[in-house]
Amino acid sequence: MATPTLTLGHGEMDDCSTKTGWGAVQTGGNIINETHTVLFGDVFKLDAECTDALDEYIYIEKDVTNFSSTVYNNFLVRYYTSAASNGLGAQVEVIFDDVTSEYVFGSTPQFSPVWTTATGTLTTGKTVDKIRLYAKDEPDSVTGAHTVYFDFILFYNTKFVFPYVNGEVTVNTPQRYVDIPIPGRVGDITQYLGAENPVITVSGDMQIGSWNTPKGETLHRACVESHAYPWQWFTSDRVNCKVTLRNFSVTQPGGSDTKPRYTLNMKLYSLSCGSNYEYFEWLGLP
Amino acid sequence: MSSVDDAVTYVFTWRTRHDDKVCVKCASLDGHVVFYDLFADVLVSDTHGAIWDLNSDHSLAHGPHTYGCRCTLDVDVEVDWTKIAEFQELRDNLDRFNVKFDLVKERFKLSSSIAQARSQMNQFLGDLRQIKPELMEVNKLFTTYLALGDAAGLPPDLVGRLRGLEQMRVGIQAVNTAWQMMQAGGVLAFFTGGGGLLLGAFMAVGGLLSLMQIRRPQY
Repeated sequence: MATPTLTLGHGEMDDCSTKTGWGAVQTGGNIINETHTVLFGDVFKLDAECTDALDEYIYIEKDVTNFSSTVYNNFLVRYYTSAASNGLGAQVEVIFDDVTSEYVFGSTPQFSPVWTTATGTLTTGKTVDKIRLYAKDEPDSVTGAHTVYFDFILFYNTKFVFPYVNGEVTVNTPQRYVDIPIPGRVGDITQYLGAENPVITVSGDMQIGSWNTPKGETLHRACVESHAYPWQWFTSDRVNCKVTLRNFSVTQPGGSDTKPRYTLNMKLYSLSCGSNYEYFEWLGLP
Repeated sequence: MSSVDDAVTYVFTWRTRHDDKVCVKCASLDGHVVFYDLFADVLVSDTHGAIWDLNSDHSLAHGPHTYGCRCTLDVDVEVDWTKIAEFQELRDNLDRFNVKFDLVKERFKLSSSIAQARSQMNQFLGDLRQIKPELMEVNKLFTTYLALGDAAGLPPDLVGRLRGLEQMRVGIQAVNTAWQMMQAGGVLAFFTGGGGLLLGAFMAVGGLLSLMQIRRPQY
């Protein structure tokens, strides 16, 4: 199985949940009907209609509190496009304080008809001043209405790579039922009070793989300090989602097998209602 | 020989102003703890990278300029006395005299100004380096004292040795006094006959018996 990872050292991030801080849609070329909306309270939706075969684009820009491209030089973006290969594609550009710029994702527009998490790297030694999210039809131009969706963008320092997982990444979806007792009545009244966010559990042996003292300590401290992040990006073979870290436990069994085992409980984080989870494809269920 | 520098660990904790002007980058650093060298040029976190210029004393999260970052660092120092061999030896020596004290890690808060924190630590480390030779001398005294006890055939129990050495001192003093009295008795005998000499000899034997008493093993 692929080794699970968890982002650490977050810098600039945007959950694409509010237009606050983002400027009005800017256009280039003969593009019409450009809009920027927020879908499910958690996704940016950039719509536009291309009208000719020339290069066209729209973008939204955010003036961020400047940040170091050295400290936060890793980048993640989650996106999908209505066009599979030709139409409006996704790009992310950063503008440095020296007015130079760099496409941190997609030197040419990127297409994906399913949610995809892409990575990028910033040139170090610069200071990022602005971020632009593009929906761009270039150079392969067609006419028609297209949409680009952004789930989040994240600039971060490093990832925690779980050294070993015993094949166990589990997802639980606890439902909230209350069994109300009625005096004198045989049986309860069952009341449904909704459901919790899915709980994702990763567990494994801490003496197999490249565990060593700093690694275990890093994970422990990451858990202790995780409250500073609104969420962290977790990846595994199937489950890829925003999480908050809830409980990190280490158990040393007795008997002959004294190898310590760890269990990390995380909870899926979403501003959207759980009814939309399928839309977001976070749990990667078959 | 252990170095005093090995005994100290610096603990940096990032602090924001906790208001609505705190940016998302600093918010993610709030409360973040880094163990690092106070005298390094740059503070490097294992999860956030190079985040603070320790020489110029400002955040690097925003790039080479501060851009008005209002965050500060809390700087603490942990001193692990067990890592200073002289303190360990002193503790062990005192322990043999039933004087118990624990060497523990102690944590002190330094100034959040890096320049002032460095100055405080330079002073502290200087004092610590100065006290080390003095501790070595104290430990040498213990060693000498114990060697003296061994040479005198005193019991290995150090409380017993202390008591024995005190008794030995009293015994030696008694012998000395007896000797002086015997001499005085000789002078007295010269004037009074054998009675003064007998009294002096009796006192000398008493002193010797007292000396022998302390050499008897005590169980």
